[in-house]
Amino acid sequence: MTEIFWMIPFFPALGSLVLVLLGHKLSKKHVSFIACSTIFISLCISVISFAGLLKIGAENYPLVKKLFTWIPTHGFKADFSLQFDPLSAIMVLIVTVVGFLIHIYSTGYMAEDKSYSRYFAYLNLFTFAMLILVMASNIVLMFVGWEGVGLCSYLLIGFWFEKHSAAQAGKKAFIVNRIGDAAFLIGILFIFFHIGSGEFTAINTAISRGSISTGFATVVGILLFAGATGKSAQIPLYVWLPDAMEGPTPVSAFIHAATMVTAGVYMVARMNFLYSFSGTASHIIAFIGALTAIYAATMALTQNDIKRVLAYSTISQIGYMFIGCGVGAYSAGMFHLYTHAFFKSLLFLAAGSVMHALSGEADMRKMGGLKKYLPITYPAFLIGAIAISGIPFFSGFFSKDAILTKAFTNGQYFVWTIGVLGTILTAFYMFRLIFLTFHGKERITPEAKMLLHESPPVMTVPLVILAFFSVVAGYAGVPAVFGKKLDWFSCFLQPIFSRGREVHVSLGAELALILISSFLAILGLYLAYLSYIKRPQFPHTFATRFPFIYRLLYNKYYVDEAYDALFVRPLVRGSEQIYNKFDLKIIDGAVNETASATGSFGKLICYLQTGFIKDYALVFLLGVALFLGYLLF
Amino acid sequence: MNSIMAAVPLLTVVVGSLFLLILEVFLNRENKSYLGYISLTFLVICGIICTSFWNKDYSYFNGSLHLDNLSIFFYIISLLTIGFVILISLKYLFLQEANHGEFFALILFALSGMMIMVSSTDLLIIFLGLELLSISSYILAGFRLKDVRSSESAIKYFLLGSFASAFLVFGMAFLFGISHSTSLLAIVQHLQSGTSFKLIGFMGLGLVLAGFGFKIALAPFHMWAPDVYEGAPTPVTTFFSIGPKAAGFAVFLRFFHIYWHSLESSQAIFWLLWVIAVLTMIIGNLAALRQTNIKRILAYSSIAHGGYLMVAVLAQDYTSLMFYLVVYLFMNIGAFSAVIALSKKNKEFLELDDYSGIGFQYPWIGALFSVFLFSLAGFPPTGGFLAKFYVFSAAVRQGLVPLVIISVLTCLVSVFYYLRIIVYMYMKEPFHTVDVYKENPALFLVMFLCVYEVFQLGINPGSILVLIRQALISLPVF
Repeated sequence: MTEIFWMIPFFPALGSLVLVLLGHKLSKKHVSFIACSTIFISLCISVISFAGLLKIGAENYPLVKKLFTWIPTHGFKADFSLQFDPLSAIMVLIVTVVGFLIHIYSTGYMAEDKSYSRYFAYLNLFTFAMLILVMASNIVLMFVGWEGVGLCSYLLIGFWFEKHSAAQAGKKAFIVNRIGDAAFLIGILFIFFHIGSGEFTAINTAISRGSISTGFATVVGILLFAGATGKSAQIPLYVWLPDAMEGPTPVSAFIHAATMVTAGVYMVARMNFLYSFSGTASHIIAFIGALTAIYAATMALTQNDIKRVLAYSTISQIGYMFIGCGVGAYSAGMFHLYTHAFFKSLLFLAAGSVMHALSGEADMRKMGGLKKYLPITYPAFLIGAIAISGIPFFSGFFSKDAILTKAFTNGQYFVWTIGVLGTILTAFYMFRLIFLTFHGKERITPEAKMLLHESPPVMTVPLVILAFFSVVAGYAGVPAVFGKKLDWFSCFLQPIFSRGREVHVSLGAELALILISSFLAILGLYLAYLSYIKRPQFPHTFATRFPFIYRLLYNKYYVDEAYDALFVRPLVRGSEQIYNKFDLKIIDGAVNETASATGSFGKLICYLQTGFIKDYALVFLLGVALFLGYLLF
Repeated sequence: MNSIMAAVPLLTVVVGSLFLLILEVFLNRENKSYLGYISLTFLVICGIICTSFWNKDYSYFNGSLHLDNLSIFFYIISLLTIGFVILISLKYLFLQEANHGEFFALILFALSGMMIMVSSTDLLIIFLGLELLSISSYILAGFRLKDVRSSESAIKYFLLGSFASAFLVFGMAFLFGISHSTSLLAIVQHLQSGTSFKLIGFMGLGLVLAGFGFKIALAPFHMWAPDVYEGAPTPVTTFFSIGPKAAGFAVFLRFFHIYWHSLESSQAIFWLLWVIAVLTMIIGNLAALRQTNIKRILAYSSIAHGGYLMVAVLAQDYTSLMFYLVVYLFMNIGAFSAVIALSKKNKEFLELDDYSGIGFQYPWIGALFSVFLFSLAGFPPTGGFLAKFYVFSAAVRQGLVPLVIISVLTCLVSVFYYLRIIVYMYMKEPFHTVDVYKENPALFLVMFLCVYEVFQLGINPGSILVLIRQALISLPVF
């Protein structure tokens, strides 16, 4: 039954098409049915294909289905072909499961919105693009999905485009992504130029045959990774993600958990043969990942917008995934991606539920003490926070630990140190969020309190399901300390990452590492408890004592301002100059002149078209005469 | 294999048209549209017969009628064209009070003419087909009896067409004179060997080319096209813009395949065709810029597309020629269907001003028409883009760089008049109320099929290219 895997992406595409064409005529009920059922069919096919994949042996990977030859030209050929192997399978499952739950949740969250069908059309298209991205068997088709998610994120972030800030945020996301995409495209062209094919298997073969140099692999690797920094919001192109909060909250959940930001990590994991070949590129990835992990965590400490805290935490967690990929532990990176998908979508959807309860309020300073009003949202949020903080025996603990252990055993002590420091910060800002939102004094405005209510079941049921996954998902990859054969996840991915550096470490050292990071996570939690429950005045004291640090963090290191001054404004001004001096006068002038000359020539031809048969016959005769004259003499 | 089977598809169509002619007498005015469905049935039967002969390679009448893959491919193109034309004219004839039963019989006669043309390698038989096609066309052009412009169109087409046929026959007489044969192969061989009659041979060839140039509206023999296209009933115009062109290029394909290969001194003809192609592209595209009538714009556009097809002939790349014809068939029929969609009882909306705001008033028509216009202009991911791309890249491989540069520049010009229609549809306030007759399912079926094919050919051309390569196998190998 695995052969039907190629159908997975096309159901959401169909749903999107139907909703675009007929959405305005359908009732909301029908729209939700179409949107959710298409994803659900894809989900079922994914599960069936996944079960089939487990049965066939590793020697049959990857399953490839060529749908048609997409670009057949001389010297350049790309197929529209999809593939299914463990890596794709895991991504497909994440996208369809989380996507399905988010679709369900959205039917509640967006119930009052007037552009209901447009929203679901975009959401279905988003799912389609992401599925194409993760199932493409060549890098060109992958790029189609890559651009597709970029486009859909633009449409969804700017969904409420009547709001100026939403339109701006959409634009920002699109432009920042374009910068990364340009580098990515150059990388693809390099691959085509040197290897002659974009098929992943062909690239893999070329590398193992040694037909490309390490330097080339490094250049291509860095170019592709530059694309990933855009999609996955890493330094220096992370700036779009916090602003992406302007979109509807389920969209943020989708972008942060299942689609879009995970694309970069997936791409690096998919191209693991390239990165394993080039040590330099790997080091850069690990370094950028570590830097982003701690940098974004510090910014999350001072934000007051509940979604912004989560946004920075995503940036930071993606940084951890890149640490994993950068140190050669691709399966650990993917494992974190997989657990993160559950707890991050849980956190976002729970945050959405909180906002829904408070009529759209996202400022944590106007929350507090919500615990008793939101009996389902609160425990769900708490589970998500425990999972992301890396507190033992929740999913985030296993995955984060796998990454840090691998970083340590591969001798990347610097990266490891930053990683474990990040653990304290993660626990701290997550529990700061919990304490400010759900505990302590109520700071809710009276109007909001009037309407305070727990969300409807369509919203809470996905929360419960995701909370369940956030607890148990980690047991797919239990570290060797707890038993030799328990790490199913990395065994499953082993055939894909056969080139990854897997150094085995003694059980004692591993146990020590686990204990250190668990201790630090709990320490972070305790510090948050001290600062926000025990002595709520402490953060304020800190802010007044060290105003410089506080303001630096609160203003996100002034990076947005710096980018604005360094790139955006000079570009805008320069292009204005060029427009006025060069484009209007020289280019437009030339074009207009050519156009009017062409136009008058057309007029001339029309004069010949008199309408009289005798003239037409004359022209014909003249033509024949010229013909014969030319041929005979 | 010599067998009467070779004539079966042709006979089916001829029998069909005669049957319709007889049946027409017994039907009263209200029931005339049944004739359309009956003719469609005959087309389907003929299509099934044709496909069953794929890869069989029959011939008859001393080898003058071939039923090879190439013929079948062009049969299918002709059948599709006629089938679509019948579908889009079902309601049209009723609305424009041109509902005379002979319409369907005549259009099947025209089809049989085309079928004779595309499957023969004998000049005389080709001429027979051409005349059958032409005479039916003259009548069809004047089918709106109450409309003076339709009659004008018919008379113009008839007079100029006869004029051109005279040249054609004259040229054929010369060619027969030197080679004592009407077979294309024999004529080319004699042109090559008979040095003493070279001038006469060239003269004959020139006259024949002029005659065919008239039929497929190549400059400078195109003058009739805009006037005839404008006056003829719109479904008939649709047919004119595709049918004779496809048949004419099929003959060119068979002829020049032999000609380019066997003649060393083909330079003169080559440059002649080069000039014709350039003139056709320039005149077609530039004249279209100044038009305000949709049918005239599309008439000049179809002249211009004839020029691009000539580029494919010059590039000697018949795969791209046939691919272009297939794409052109779908996008042109689609565009004309959109024009027909904007009509009501006794009134068609044909001026550019009528199209203001149509995109919002009739979103489906506007969107579909836009797709066809984008395809005609050659935007990806439509078939129009790939068709042009294949032709131009083949020409570049043949070293015809200046020709390709001119072609691309004229394409650029064409974007203006195609997009102008879209600008009118979406960016102008409605000029006056346009109320169209909406219940026309057959027409929308055609538009949806065409839009599907336009995208299908633009995104996944592989399957059709395979068929074209199989069809081209039946050309003689040198």
